[in-house]
Amino acid sequence: MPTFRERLRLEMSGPAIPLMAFGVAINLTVGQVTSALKIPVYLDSIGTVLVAVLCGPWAAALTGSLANILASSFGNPATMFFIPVVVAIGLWTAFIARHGWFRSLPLVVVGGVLQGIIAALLSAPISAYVFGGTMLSGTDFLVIFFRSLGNDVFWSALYQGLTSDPIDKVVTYVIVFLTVRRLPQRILTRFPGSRSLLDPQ
Amino acid sequence: MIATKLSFVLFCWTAAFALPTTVQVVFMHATFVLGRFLPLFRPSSAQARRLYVRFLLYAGLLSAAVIILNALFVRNGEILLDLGVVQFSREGVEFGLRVSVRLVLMSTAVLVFFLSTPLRDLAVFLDSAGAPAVLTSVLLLSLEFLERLPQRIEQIFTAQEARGAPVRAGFIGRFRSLFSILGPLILSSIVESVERSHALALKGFPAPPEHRIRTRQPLTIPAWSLIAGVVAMIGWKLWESF
Repeated sequence: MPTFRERLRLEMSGPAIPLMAFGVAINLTVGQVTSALKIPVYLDSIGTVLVAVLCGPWAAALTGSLANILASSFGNPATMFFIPVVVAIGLWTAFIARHGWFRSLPLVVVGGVLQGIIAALLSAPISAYVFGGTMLSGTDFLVIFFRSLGNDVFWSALYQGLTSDPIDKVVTYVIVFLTVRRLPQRILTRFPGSRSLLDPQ
Repeated sequence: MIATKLSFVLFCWTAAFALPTTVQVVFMHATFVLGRFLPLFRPSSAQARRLYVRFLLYAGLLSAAVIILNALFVRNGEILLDLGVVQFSREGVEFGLRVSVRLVLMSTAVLVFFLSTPLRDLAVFLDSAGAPAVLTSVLLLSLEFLERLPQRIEQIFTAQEARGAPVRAGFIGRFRSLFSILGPLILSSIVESVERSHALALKGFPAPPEHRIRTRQPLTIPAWSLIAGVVAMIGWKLWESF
């Protein structure tokens, strides 16, 4: 049984290091694709999910955190506050990937919905108590809608998260699932998470 | 100097939760002044200056939105303004002010730090301070990939459009195009990661810890003062709560 330190070293070695860097860059640039296609999803955790599936939880947590820190440095300091959310995304995704959920599409969809709920539960207190429920993004209209129904700021932020996050995370998970399925086995086996992705013979 | 700036960010973040709103307003203005006048905290390039100005506009808009929305939807307490259908409550305005001052103080501190510190300098600082080699190498590689990925996305986008991908069709068509653009992007990143890892391994990465050069800088007096301030604020807050 490898120790935590050994597992960490295995998770963050070889192709994992450049992949983590790509994960950070993909998280930050994927908005270019969604805005060009005019699709109302963020997909800003797609790199984190990819690293979680191929490498492991801590590599994914580091990828998500670095992406948010870099986003802060590019003029959007609000993202710093959501580091706990991206860490949770990395840990949860790696957890379900290790248990073989990324071998079947229905399980990937269920995992994405659950991930969306977890992200909503974690981001609601941050959104409500740090930002007062307003982020100057498209989802603010949902917050306003829920507040106009008489909910307080926390519940409105939570309902907004529960409405939009599961859709975003399901799309993210499905894209990563379909892409990883297309990887040749000789490349896939270079990554520490490959064992739980390959169908048991 | 980076250590002093990091201490400053920590100080502002602690102040945002530990101190009363009126004191936070003073610190918030002090941060604006630092970002404007003190060379060490000033945005380091023309692009950084543009980002800073854009952020200040964003912060102003966000604050106004937070205050107005809370004034509209928080219905408790005294009514400050009654326009018939719309009413502004005092409690809502106060909550909105508290939240926006805290947010702007924390965000400005982070932004002033990043805009006055080139990320490559930060990576060098982290490395010399003993941060794991993985962290600094991922940070530096990310900066390189960030410069290249937008161009690659554009190439894939154009190629898929030329092949007839419905990138300008209805919602369903555009949604399907999302997969045809992100798929190649992610696949090429994975393949390049494997190639890069070979190059890194050939260069002997990561170097054994004894081969790494560490030049640990002692903390400056301002850094120590800021850290003492953080400890004092936490102590005061704990004292107050008991």
